[in-house]
Amino acid sequence: MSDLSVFDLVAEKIEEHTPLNRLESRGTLRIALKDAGFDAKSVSASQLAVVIQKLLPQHFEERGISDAENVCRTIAGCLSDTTSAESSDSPEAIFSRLGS
Amino acid sequence: MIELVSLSGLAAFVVASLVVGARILMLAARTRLLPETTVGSSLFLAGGVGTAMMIAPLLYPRFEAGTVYFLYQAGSMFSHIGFLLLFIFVWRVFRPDEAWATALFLACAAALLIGGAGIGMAVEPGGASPAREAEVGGVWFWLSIAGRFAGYTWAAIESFRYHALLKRRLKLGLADEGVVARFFYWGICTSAVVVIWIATAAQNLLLESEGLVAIAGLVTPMMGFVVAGSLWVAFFPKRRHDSVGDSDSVPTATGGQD
Repeated sequence: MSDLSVFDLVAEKIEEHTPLNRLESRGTLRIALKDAGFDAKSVSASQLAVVIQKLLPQHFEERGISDAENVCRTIAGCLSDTTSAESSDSPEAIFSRLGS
Repeated sequence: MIELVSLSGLAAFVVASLVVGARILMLAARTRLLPETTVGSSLFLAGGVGTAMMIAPLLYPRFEAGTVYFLYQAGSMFSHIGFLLLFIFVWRVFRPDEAWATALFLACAAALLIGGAGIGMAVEPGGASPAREAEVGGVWFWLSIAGRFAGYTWAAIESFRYHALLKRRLKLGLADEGVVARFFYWGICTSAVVVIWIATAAQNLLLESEGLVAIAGLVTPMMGFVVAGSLWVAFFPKRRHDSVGDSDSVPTATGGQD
C-alpha cells in the first residue's frame, strides 16, 4: 500500500465501495480533481480528502450511485491515516513565499 | 510632455524592478532556494540595473560617446543575464520534469545568448546611438528578441494557467486569495513585457515610417507603468490589504471578488 499514490489508493476505494469498475473509478476521480484544479500526480492527501467530500458526491450522483455522501465519507476516511505533505516546491508554495 | 511621460514610465519600470527584485533577493538570502534567487536576480538585473544603464543616455544626453557605448554594452549584458534567469525560473517552477519544457528552455536560452553576444560584437564604439545600431543589426537582434518573446510568453501563459487552477481550488478553500492574485498580476507583468518585445520588433520593422516608429516607441514606457503597477500589487500585497482591512477584497482575474 505504501507504494500507491493517494490517487491510486482512493481510486481503489471507489472501486471497492461503488459499482464503478477500475476505469470508471479512476476516470471519475480524475474529473473531480480537474474540477478542483488539481492533477493526480501532485494532489496531497489532505487536498484529496476535501475534493472527495465536496465534489465527488455530485459526480457519484450523476452516475446513479445511491447514498453518495456516505460513500464519500467512507472513502475519505481511508485517507485519515495517510500522510502526503504538500510540496514546498509547488508553484503555489513558491509564489506564497515570494510575497512573504 | 510626451517625453516626460515616456521617461516616467521607464523610470517606474526601473524603480519597481529594483525594489521588488531587492526584496525577493533578501528572501533568497534567507532561504537559499533557486526560485527566489532566479526571479529576484532577474528583476534586479534586467528590469533594474540593465534597463537603467540603457536609458541613462536618454536622461542625460551629455554623456560622451565612450560612456554611452559602455552603458549600452553593460546594460545589454545585465539585461540578457536577467532574461535568462527568468527563463530558468519559469522552467524550474512550472515544468521541472517535462522534456518539452527543457527543450523550450534550451531553445530560448540559446537564441537569447547567441543573439545577445552577437549584438555586443556588432555595436561599434563611438556611435551616436548603440541601441539603434543594435536593433538594425540584423540576425543577432532578431535572435535575441525571438528568445525574449518566447520566454516571456511562456512565463505569462504558465502564470495565467496556474491562476485559473488556483481559482478553482479557492472555491473549495484550498488556496490563498493573495497567492491566487499574485499569479494573475505576475501574468499581467510578464504579458506587458511581451508587448514591449513586440513593440521593439515593430520599431525595427517600421523603420521607414517615422510616425509608426514613434507610436511603437510610446508602447514601451506605457508598458513600463503596467509592469511597475503589477509588480507592486503582486509582491507588496499585505500592506495594501491591511489598509483595506478585509482580506476578501483581494482582486482576482475578474477584477472583483470571487
